[in-house]
Amino acid sequence: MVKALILGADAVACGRLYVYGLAAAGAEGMVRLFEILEDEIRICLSLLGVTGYHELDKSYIRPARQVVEPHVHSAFPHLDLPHETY
Amino acid sequence: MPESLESRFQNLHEFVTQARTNLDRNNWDYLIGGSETETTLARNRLALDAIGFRPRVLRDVSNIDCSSTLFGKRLRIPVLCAPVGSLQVFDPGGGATVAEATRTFGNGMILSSVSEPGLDKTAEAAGDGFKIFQLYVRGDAQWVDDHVRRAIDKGYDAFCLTVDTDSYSRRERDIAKRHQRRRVRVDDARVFQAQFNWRDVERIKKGFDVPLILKGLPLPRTPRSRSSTGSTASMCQTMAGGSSIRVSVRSTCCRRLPRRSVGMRASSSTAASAAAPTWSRR
Repeated sequence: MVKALILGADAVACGRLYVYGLAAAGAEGMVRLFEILEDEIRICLSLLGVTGYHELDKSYIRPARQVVEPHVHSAFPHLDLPHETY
Repeated sequence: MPESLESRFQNLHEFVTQARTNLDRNNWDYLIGGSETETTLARNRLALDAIGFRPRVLRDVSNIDCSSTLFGKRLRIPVLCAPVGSLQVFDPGGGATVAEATRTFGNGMILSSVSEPGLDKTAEAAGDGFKIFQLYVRGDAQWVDDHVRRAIDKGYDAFCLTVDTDSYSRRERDIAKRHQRRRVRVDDARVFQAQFNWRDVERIKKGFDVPLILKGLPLPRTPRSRSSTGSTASMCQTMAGGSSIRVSVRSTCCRRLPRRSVGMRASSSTAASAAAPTWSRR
């Protein structure tokens, strides 16, 4: 989301992401999903060193090598984590 | 006592797991699948994954504002629910459930014209929450204009036309199972989408006072789009989940196109500015 905003979007429309929340737990699931997303965005802005989107520009991004094979779920590399890890 | 949602879901990927459990194979494939061989989907995912951040430190970030403004309305976060067809297969309430959720949270939604329970009931569920109506063209000019009029009457904040579905692509994931969604099989009116063109866009722009979004522009800077969509917002599709064959905009392209988006981008415009005088965030 923040990458798209840095690239010039005024807003980002997500598709699959909210439907995961919808299919998992209806409207309440979606609200919970957006709460987590809001927290992730807040943390991201904080670590980028800005207090709002207006401070962002393309100096805040860089080319990078992907670390997982591109896939519909490559944003969720922890999907395969076992429930108990050590 | 049942476990609370806060306890059940603590990472975004945990919703993916639960959705997989709740959905049957065909609806799960509809959700995660994409057009054709899904090459575009993977390529677009790669484009986003190939961007890293450059953090800054030792700044005062004790007070962060995650909200934003779109079409003159405040959004708690600038993240909308994209138009998804057949929302009712994921929750019986379909678009109304999504409207209820986004109104509760404080962001917004875009309702697809092929999603239940339709324009009117979804608007009622959304109340004064942020909402946009997206139309697949399945009728003549009068039919289209009637939908624009109804959307305005029902309080939608913008009207969205999908422009990259002149043909429905071969969804090979579905074909391999010999499965085709019912809506696609019976969709004889698709010819109206194929006939729809820039003259229709101009007609809507001139005839209605509502922000107009074109969803699926291949590149924001195509010559035709520059001359003809000066008063529209563009919405670029990145994950090729729907019926579009093509990549709309990859973020790799966007790096060469300052201030163009992989999400939604609005220009200051006659149509948009009527509703949203301060529209661009920069």
